[in-house]
Amino acid sequence: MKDVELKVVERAKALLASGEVARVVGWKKGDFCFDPSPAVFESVEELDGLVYNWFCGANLSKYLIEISKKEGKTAVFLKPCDTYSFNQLIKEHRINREKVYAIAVECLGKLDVEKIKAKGVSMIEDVEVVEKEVKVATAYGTETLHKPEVLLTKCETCQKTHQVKDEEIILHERPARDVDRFAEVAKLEAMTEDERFAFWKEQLSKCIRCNACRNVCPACSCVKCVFDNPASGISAKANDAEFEEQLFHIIRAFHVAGRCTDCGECSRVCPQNIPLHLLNRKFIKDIDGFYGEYQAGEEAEGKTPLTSFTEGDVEPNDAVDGEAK
Amino acid sequence: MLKIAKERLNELYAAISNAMELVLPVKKAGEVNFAMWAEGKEVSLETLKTVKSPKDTFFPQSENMMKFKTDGKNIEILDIRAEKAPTVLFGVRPCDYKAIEVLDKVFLADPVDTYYQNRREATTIITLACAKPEESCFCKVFGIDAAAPAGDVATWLDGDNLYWQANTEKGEALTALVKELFAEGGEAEVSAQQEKTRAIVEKLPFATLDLSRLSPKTSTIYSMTLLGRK
Amino acid sequence: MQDVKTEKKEFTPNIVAFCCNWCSYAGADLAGSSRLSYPANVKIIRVPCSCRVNPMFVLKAFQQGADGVILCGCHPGDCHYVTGNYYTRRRMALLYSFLNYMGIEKARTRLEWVSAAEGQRFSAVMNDFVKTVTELGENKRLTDLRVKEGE
Repeated sequence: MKDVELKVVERAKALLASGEVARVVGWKKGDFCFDPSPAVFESVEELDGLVYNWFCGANLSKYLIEISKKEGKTAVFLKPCDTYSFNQLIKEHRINREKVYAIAVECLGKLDVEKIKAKGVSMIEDVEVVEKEVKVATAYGTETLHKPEVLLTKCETCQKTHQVKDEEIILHERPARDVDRFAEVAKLEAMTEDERFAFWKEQLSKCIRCNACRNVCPACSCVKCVFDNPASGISAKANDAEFEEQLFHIIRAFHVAGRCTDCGECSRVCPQNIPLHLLNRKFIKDIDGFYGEYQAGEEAEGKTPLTSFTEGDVEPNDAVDGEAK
Repeated sequence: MLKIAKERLNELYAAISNAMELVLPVKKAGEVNFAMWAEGKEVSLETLKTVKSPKDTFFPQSENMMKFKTDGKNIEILDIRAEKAPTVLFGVRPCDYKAIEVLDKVFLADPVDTYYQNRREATTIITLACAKPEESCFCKVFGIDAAAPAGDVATWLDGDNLYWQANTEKGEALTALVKELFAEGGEAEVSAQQEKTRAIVEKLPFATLDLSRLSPKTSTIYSMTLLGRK
Repeated sequence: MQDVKTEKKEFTPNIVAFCCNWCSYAGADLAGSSRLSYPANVKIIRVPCSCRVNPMFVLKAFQQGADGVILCGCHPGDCHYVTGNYYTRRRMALLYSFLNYMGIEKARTRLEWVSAAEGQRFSAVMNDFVKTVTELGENKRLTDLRVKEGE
């Protein structure tokens, strides 16, 4: 990974120094090796803090909504999953494609430090990955973990490829895989109504309305969000009533239905580890089943499932679990 | 110093719960947070930090503060505050306890926040010392001793036992209630753990954080609230 | 979880029916003038077109105490605004399926196409829906319990 990081920093510095771009959006080194955060770099000196490692799970495309409005071009590093949100935002006229220089960067999956710590590993100093082995150097010695067990949830079922790029930095090809990203959704669909209700009530009762999921979601980019608008009748800062924790998530999932690119950021940032991606994937599975397979963000133009129709669409009373009854 | 075997902790929880409300770190749907104890719940004292702090015990996310009735032009304001039932808050980390002390400085000073005061006075806080601090722990920099927490009762947990020491009157009162479940002793084990913990804390990345970069105003606030200097 | 009614008082569900002005509301009118009865606990909300119905309306209705929500509109192809009900169909197909995924009983939500001339059908649909929801019992899963506090 260090070789990729070197190239990333090298290219960023070159682009900025030559004046081809006015700023670079990337990941900045945090206090530790496992907490890089999205950042804007405006000078070559600042780029000394640019990193690209196994913990750069954050999707950078949403920041371009505001940043690409600034004077000059903005360079951004996009992992495969990020390019879909980027395209979707272009389709929705939130990002001006001409103002952005997109660098497609390789990705072999990103790690989840919470999962690593849950295995009892602490005082992490450095992480190295060789094939399926994750070697964690800690103050207490080196721990070796199995990569599939400590991947970010969104990476577990990822089959995405770069949809857009002005240039690429890919030194290692990702092996092809055959995974069913709807397996968890199907498991829930197979439960009874009562079991499903109990599952979601338990999960959503953890919700503290921190709004991290909404804030990080590239599809949630309304200037005035309905949950911040007192006139909407659903603005609230806390889950006050029994129903409110469900209300927020049902509405938000519906608002992004058909536009959600399945980037998985919502689940990654949830401090209570609520599997929010299972809500959005349900909509995607239903859309695929009712109206034909559709991947938001694959194209930068065209209609979305909820802004189009056919005369033979399935009737709501019959539509259940992604198929007409 | 008192001690009780780890296997018997459920008895301790039941005994406390019989007399008052017991709030401690409970695992639910994969995450550990402070919640009311009930028979059968999965208590998790080994988890270093709960996802949310114990602040909710004193500051619930929402509450009804008052009710009022209007009758034409007359308004009658009803004080619907209920007396907070005696509560035991168990398993508070030293850093979280320090935070409660900071809140006390604000909300128990004149004018007193009576909602906060009501809940605070009705609660006995049992702290739990840390045995395995992590790299993001910052206790030392703020003058907090992770191995010897303050609180009405301080406790330590090792592989075999929970060790218990009352520090205040409230703590003594609670101890009297559950004394029969405990045995005397444990000073040596606690000392040993304290030494180990302090050694780890010395090596933490934030142990020697340079706070000289704080602005003078922030510095003053910091020393008044956290270090307790006037 | 079916609630076994132990109370002697019979449970009458609160039903909210969103009816489009041009077809289904006219159909409701026709049912009325033809003296075809349907239960009084069906509260009709008139909208210009079925696609005016925002999914939030459906959720709000449940939150405020509805036990069942039904949408009525023009038959596909006959929408007064040409294409409105096609969007309704997509929206509600996804919403109802999603509510069921969250554990809300599927039978609590329905969508029926009722034309202005179908007074009898309107009455029949409402009677059937009320019957179905009565059997399901009170909606306890998608409700703001504060609404019940004053009762």
